[in-house]
Amino acid sequence: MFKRKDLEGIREKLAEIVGEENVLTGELETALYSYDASMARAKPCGVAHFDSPEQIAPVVKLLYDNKIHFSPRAAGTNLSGGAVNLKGGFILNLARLDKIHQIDTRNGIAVVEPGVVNLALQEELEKFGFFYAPDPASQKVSTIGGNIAENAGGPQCLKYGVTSDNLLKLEVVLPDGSERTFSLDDPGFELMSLFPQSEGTLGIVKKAWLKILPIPKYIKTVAAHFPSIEDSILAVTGIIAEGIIPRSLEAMDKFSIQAALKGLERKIPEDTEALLLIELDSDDLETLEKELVRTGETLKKNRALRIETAKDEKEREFLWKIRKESYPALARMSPNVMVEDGAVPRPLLPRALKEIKEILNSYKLKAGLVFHAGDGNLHPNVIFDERDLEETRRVRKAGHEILKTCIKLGGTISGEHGVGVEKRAAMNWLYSQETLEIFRKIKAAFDPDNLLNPDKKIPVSKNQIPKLEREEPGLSDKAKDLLNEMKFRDKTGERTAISGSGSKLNPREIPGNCKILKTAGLDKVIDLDRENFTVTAEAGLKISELRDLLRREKLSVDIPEDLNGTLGGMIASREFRELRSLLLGADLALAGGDLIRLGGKTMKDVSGYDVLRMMIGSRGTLALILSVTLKIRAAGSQKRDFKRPGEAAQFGDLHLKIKQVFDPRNLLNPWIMQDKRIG
Amino acid sequence: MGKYEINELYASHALHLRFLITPNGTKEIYDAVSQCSRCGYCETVCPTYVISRRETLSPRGRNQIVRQLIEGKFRPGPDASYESLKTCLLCGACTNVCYGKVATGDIVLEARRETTGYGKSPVYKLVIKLKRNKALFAAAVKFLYLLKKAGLAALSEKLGIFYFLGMPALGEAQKKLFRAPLTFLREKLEKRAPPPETATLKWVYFASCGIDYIFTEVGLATVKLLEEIYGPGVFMKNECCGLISYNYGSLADARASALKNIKLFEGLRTRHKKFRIVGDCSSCVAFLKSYPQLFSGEEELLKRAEEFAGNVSDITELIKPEHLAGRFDPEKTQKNRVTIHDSCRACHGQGIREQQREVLRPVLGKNLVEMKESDMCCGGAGAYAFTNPRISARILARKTENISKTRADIVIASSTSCLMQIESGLREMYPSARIMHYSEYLVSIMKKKA
Repeated sequence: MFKRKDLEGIREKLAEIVGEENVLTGELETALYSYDASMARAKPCGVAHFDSPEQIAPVVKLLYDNKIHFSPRAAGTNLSGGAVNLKGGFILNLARLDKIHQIDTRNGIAVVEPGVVNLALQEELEKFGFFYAPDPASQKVSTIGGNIAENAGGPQCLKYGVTSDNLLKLEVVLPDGSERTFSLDDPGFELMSLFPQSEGTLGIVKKAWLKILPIPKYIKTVAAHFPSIEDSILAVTGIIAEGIIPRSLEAMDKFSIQAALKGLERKIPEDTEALLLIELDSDDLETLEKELVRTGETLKKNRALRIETAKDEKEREFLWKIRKESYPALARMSPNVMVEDGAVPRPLLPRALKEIKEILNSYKLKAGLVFHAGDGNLHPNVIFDERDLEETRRVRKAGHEILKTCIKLGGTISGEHGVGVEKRAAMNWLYSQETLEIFRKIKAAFDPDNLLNPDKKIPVSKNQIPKLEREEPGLSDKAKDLLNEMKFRDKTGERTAISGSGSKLNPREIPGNCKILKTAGLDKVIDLDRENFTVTAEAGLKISELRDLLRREKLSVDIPEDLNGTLGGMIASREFRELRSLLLGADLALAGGDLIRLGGKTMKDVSGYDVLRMMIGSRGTLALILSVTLKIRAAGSQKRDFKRPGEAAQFGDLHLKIKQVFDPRNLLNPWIMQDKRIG
Repeated sequence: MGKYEINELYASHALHLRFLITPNGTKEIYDAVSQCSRCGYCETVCPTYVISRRETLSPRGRNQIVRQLIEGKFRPGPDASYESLKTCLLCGACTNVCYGKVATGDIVLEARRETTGYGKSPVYKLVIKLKRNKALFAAAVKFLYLLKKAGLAALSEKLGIFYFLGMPALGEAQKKLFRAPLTFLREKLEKRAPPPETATLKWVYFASCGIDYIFTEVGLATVKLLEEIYGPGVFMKNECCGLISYNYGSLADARASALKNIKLFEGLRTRHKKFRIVGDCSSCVAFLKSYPQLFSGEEELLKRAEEFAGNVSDITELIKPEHLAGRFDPEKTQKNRVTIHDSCRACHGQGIREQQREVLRPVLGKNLVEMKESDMCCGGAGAYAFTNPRISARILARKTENISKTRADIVIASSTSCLMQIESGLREMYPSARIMHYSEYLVSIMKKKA
């Protein structure tokens, strides 16, 4: 924390960059930049408003050089406290940087500044018959910069992926004021993965290249009434088992529906306890009609009471209104609504919801349950009055219990709203201390003085709060052996060359001082979840074996047909771009033999830094991959095209910094990233 | 007193409204402002936020600063919050999109009463001084207009004549004044033959000050339309609606105006049975409709105010497509491209959006063009253009740009401050279009009676 007098001189220098009228340090401005849409509060010492993206780097450099804390901010709609500066530093207001530089429909790219409002972009794209897939509920106000920082999702992300799946390239100002461009085509492992969901702690997005898609020609919307939440979730599983991937699959409970319909003429039938909103899209009407029939049959099979299909745009709007009005209706009932955000593997939604209801009852709280059923992301909307301190305490406690429930079920503490300030404690329950330490070191690699959006995301206190028991598979004997071996080699300082099936490693490349560590035998299929559509397998498993297994089970995985070798090798060598969307979790062994568990069976997880996807292309230089969890699908459902990413061979200085985080003594595959800065 | 302890500043009912009547229920100010959960959804519709992208000039920011003031957490006190509060246009766009229906405009006003004192602002003092003396007011308006016409306004401003006259705000006001009648509407209407003392009438005309003193022809057009559609009616001989006092001065003044109008209404009721009070300045009409709020907590007066408010209509909502079918002159309707500016207090204040379009669409066809952000304030906002000229000018520039993109020849609005403001914007930046009041436009395209 610094004192106001430290600001002497800084104010003038800032004013030279952004203009006198854009540096405001008065009582009013600082009071009004002390909050966002969460309950977090911290007063900044001043606010700098930017008129041009070119002003970001010099301002950041100035603040960095003078060791003044700062946080980027645009619309300030963050639900976890991401947009307040906890150290009383500067707020950098990016909201005016709202230019759309380019819409390239031929290549499917939109180039935008961070302050572009999501819906404003959608409206612009619509003119060309295109859309940008991430559609968070806040899209009317939230900005692309904020969406990237939180890795925002939305109803549509079930089919089209979350923000990180729709990013092609980023221009970023790093904490020290240097400017960098990251893209999917960069050589080396996928550093760009670190920026989405980093919550403004690693860099400030200056410009983003987004993937845009043509608006599907036909859209069908169906609402299905169910006698219970459980039945509705079974129906969801049923639909996905049919090989149908709806553009959205939203569910809500009776309380939310009733709230939404309050004041409207339509009433909900007595026996409807849950409502599913299913939307299918396609460019081919026939395909769509067929899917619609199959969807209807599946819904009926799963005890749907009534099925309504929207006949026209007006009916479609009405059905969506029930979904979209549920939050506003709650907002009218009480001054505050806490929108909790957790995710569990989809088949466990009924269990999670049952426990959440019990938690809410025991804390005497009222809430509407709304969830993105398709990807297991749930949002209990708890109503309360924050002026009632006792009630607010209950809300916080219930929130924590809900997160613990999600963790226990193998889920995560945030599917799309981020950790910010409010869920830092919960990070201890989800991750081991070793994993948190990796996150801390990544932050320090970019920002050693913790100046950029300080103290977010990662727990500040290093109290050894134990990780909670979580529904996750144990380690095989082979995996344990490997961990022990690595521990041993770490002690002796022996260097390791990791070898899977041997298809990627050229024996002549391996220097004489490296001892080979074979993952042969590390090849069990740990879990094949037919309802969740995930497979967890050890990294030494051959792709061909996985393919055979899935074929027998009438399932399939989106890996190019001509690709061979092991699952671990596939990740380490970065074979195809789409791998990043396939990858849900992994167990890693660090050079010192520590186990790092990332992700899991949930479809969305924005809790930590996205180390999981950064592993793509790491070629065994960061950690040994023990097991992976991949998305699978019903056999016969539509196939994808694959794109080759850039070469994985070269590494830059930032890659070296990350290498130092994971393997500072360069014990793993040491010949690949030789540099005097590492051993 | 509510559940929570609040700052004594806001406890005086003589100086503040006891309750705010919001779309989400009747609430004390602290409860009303606490309904803001800081979601931020209001920001993209707030004109001052849109042009500045500063939280300080946003509805959420305004609610938060008022809340901090009430809670005693904003230590520098009310004056330091002034930038946030005084820049609010009171357009109501935020409340309209707000999930919790937070009445930001009314909340801002309650807080402004703390910062500007009660009727101590220069604009308010001037206007009230003039209004209390109708002859002086009339003279001032005419004097200004003549000065301007003679091309002497700028000169007289330089010479400090307005300051000399004790009317600094008029220096700004004259810039927006492009037309002023030499006979006020009131004088014209009063000359008309009154209907029989006890005739059952369908309408009573409420003359707003802006229409009365400046846009006389608008009032005449409205009366003409009312007569055509609803038969004979009568001029209410009303008082000022009290909005200027409510917005810039003291509640006591606003209540006094309201009470006079309520009494006039009650008197007319005994003679003319069931009629509607019809106004043609949407700002005033919206305020007439909100009279109950002035008397919330006072049972008997509240009832009378509710009876009054329940019988008020904006001219824009009283004209149905079938009323004037066949009455329009095709030559006139096909001559111009027309766009609608939704005056804030019509669309946000009264929910009037579609009515004008339903009438004009069949008549104008493709000559009715929609502008972007048609329901975004033009920056006129009562005396705002005079109290916040810089912000007002930027908002006006945005509005004028949106108008020019439609290539319209005529812009339609329904509040007098929009008429003045947009007229000045068009003159400066898009002189090929002109602004007209809805009534005035309808009359202009009607067939001449054979």
